[in-house]
Amino acid sequence: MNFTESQSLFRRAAAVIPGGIYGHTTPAATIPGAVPYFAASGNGCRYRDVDGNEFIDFMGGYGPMVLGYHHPEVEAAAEAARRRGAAFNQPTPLLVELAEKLVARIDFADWAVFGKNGGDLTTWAVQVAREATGRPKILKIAGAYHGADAWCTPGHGGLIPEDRAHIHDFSFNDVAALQALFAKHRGQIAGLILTPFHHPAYADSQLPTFEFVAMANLLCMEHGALQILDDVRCGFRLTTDGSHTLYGYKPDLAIYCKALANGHPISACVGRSGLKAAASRVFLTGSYWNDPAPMAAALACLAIIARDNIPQKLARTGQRFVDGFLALGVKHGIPLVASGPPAMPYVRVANDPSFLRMQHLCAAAIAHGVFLHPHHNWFISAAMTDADIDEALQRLDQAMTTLAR
Amino acid sequence: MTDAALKAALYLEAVLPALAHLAPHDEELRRAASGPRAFAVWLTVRGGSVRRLSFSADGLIATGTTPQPGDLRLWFPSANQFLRTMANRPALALPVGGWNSLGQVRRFSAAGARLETILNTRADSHLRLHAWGNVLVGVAAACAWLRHHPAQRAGLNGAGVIACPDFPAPIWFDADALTWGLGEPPVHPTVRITFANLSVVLAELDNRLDAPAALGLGDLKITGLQPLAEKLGLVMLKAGKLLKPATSN
Repeated sequence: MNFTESQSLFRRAAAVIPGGIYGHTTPAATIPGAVPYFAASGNGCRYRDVDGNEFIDFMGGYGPMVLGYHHPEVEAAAEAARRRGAAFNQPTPLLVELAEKLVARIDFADWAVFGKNGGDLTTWAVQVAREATGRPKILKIAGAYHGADAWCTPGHGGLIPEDRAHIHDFSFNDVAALQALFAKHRGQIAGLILTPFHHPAYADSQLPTFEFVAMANLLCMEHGALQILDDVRCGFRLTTDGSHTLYGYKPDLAIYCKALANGHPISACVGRSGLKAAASRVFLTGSYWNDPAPMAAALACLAIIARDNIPQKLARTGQRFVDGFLALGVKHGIPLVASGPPAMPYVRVANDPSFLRMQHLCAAAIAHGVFLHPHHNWFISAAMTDADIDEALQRLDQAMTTLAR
Repeated sequence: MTDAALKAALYLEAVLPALAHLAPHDEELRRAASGPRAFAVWLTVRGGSVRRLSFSADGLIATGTTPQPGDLRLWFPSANQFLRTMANRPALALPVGGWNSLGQVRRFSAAGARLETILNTRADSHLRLHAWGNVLVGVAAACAWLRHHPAQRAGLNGAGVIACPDFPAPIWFDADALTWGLGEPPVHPTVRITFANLSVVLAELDNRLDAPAALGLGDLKITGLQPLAEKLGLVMLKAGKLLKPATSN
């Protein structure tokens, strides 16, 4: 596969942009040299890079493209709003409509606010928890991603010890560790921030145990700490009404983003009525946060997710793909391990602590037109038909044949 | 552990052992370390680390941690006294054995001076060794640092190789055993870090390498478990910050 234009663009980028491409889409985090660096266009579950290579896409922009690229209903709604104007002096009625939609959709939600990215609102939710409780400390899952702000960034640059002075990590599903932290910091804990399931990079996904969820709910209630559910990656992908209903969490605040508007920039935080006053005291704004087009896209996307029961479709399609992929592994003598919900599976080569075999497998998949990430969970798109999955598996069969040689 | 004790440990466990690896590649170092007969010095810092350096007549150097009969034994009453010695400042070092080798101690001093030149200065004549030596000391210092900070070992598992076509040999490390050496590691590496050329290494040493861009451009390649490389890099940075003021004195 030819990546000449990608690499040429990257050389220009590296001259004028720190990192060339920064953040989670940096080639450095994938398989440099074996992946496209720049995208050009997308439709449905496929996209083209700047060299004209086409891929069946199992990342979907790292999550946002839940319905696939260029979904006609979402795009029509966004375009209609865009034609009326952007970033007015005031919000448009879409702000109220979208808040009402989320409050109606999510069982514990009494109010909603909006940002652009998940991290905008995980950070804001942490502030709301501190404002509501008057306490400083936040407990979080070790290795969980909540954004790029100082309290939670996985990066190392520009931090000072004080940034994390009141952030305390525990291992996911470790009930004893969670209890110990609550006991150690009794009266100091503002909030417990969780992801519905643990989906770290470079490691298997872990579904929550019943005991862990029950203890998280109990400890937050007993200690008067807020439970903050970072549903940015999973929200509206596993259920139509927030992932807490699937696993039994009792959140006070929850943040949604990736599947909210099918690629249009918007995030949301919802909360219980008792937190509304505290939330009103935590300043929240951004230049583009009232922009109506993404709100129109979110309204359309949420409607489609409910109307077409998208989570059920994602689960079925994902299961078809995972089953087929694992079977190919058996056929080619490449032992594969799958974890996480089928709608967002994490697959790796077994007994491969260096990830080298997985990196080679993903490079071969990409060379055969199937975009897979070697270290991150994948995202199934509702645009994928059974035929798309079968075609992807056929290509992966060929890719694995080249590896076996 | 105080900063001085830690710095002394890094010198004994990481900086001085580099002499053994650099000597075969540097004639000036061998000349400085050569003498009429074989000679060994055993360095002990009170309450701290130890190091044995043995010098062959033709200037090759070996390193270890077990003293041998006949070694010149130098005992430093504190880490600070040892560090003053390393910085060529007046210090108290008590010879507690091997007095008949006292006359040979100049070879240790001369070799140390040449090591400082290689590690801390850049000249075309030793640029390759400067880059390689600094990476080597960095890896060794990271292993030493982690030996003295076991709590910081969390998540640092596996072995790796750091290579560059301009290096005399690749450098390996085993984050589980906290060992390092030259060539391929004794266990299967989980990460392989390859610098395209010396200028990329020097940029990294100067903390001016845009690593993500270098990775995208192929100037730097990291295959395998990238987080291990990142975590090792962070430890190397901490160790380097502690060592650098002393090496620049």
